[in-house]
Amino acid sequence: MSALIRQRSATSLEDVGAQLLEAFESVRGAVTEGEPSVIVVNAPDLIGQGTLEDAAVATGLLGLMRAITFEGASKGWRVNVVAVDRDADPPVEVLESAMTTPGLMGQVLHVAKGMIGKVVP
Amino acid sequence: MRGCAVITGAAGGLGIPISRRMAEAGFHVLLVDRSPAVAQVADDIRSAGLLAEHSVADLSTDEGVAAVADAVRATGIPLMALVNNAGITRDARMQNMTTEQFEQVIEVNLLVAMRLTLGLRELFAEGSSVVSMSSRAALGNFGQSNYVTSKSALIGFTRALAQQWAPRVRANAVAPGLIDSPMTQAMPAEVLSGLVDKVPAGRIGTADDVADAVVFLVSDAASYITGQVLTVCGGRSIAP
Repeated sequence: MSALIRQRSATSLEDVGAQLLEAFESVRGAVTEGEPSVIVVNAPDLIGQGTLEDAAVATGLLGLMRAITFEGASKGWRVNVVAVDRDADPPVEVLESAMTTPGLMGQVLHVAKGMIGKVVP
Repeated sequence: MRGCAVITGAAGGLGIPISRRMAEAGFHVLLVDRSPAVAQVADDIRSAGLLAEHSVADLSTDEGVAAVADAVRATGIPLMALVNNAGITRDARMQNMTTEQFEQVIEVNLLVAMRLTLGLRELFAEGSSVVSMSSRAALGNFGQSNYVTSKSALIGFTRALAQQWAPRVRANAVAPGLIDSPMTQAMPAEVLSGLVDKVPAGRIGTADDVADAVVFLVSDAASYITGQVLTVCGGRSIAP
């Protein structure tokens, strides 16, 4: 079964660790079954425009996506990140694209106007 | 003397040269490690006529963080730099990685850095600086999903810290690439040679390359640099 993971607001350092572990286990479960995963994060958190905890979660999830893609690209493991404005819903079309577009793996799809002119995470 | 500088993981392969270079740069260094071997590192620095002391502490606990804060206060000088260098690896292919392996790496590489930084919050002086040790591997690496996650998360933490604690404190990260270390020295020669061939600089990095980047980021020469990642990889992160 495919995995759709949504970053939550982190309430503590322990919650940071818990969210990262939960995402790791969800993505692993999906790719092991040959299913795609999409991780939805708040784009502002990727560049630290929020709490310390939320920034750590967002960029940690980004790293997780890159690590698993690095390890499994040749096996067809598909994991992507969709970055949206804070607490916005990701467009369904983008989620579908992240799940199904051939060759689209290990990428960050920005659907966030607040990222224009900012560093690329 | 430029003030107190706390360096974690100070008894490790990168921690020793970073500690020495920070002391040479004029800091009174407070070396922190779980290993009692950190005492010898401090002794060696003092024997060179520089200022150093040490604290053996477990930074995964509030008591460990409090002990470091007390040690900073005991120096009687302003805290001007923190180098979050402590780190571990627990490598495994994703499908074989245990929950414990994932959690250990997140705890030491990420949460310890966050806990200590926050625990020292009130002690940072105007114009001080935090440098956290990320890694080029934050862009992806084989068999290191725990490590990559932790080192990438440190970058977000750094960016947020740079904005929340500005202008009093700057925060940056260093991301080393292939560095000469006991780990790389243990690789088969042909494997290591193949990796070095992919480095545009044409050589493996040294611990001093990393230490120099840290010393630069905490210096006045970097006073307009905050929230950034300085990748010290000989160009590997942009090469094919």
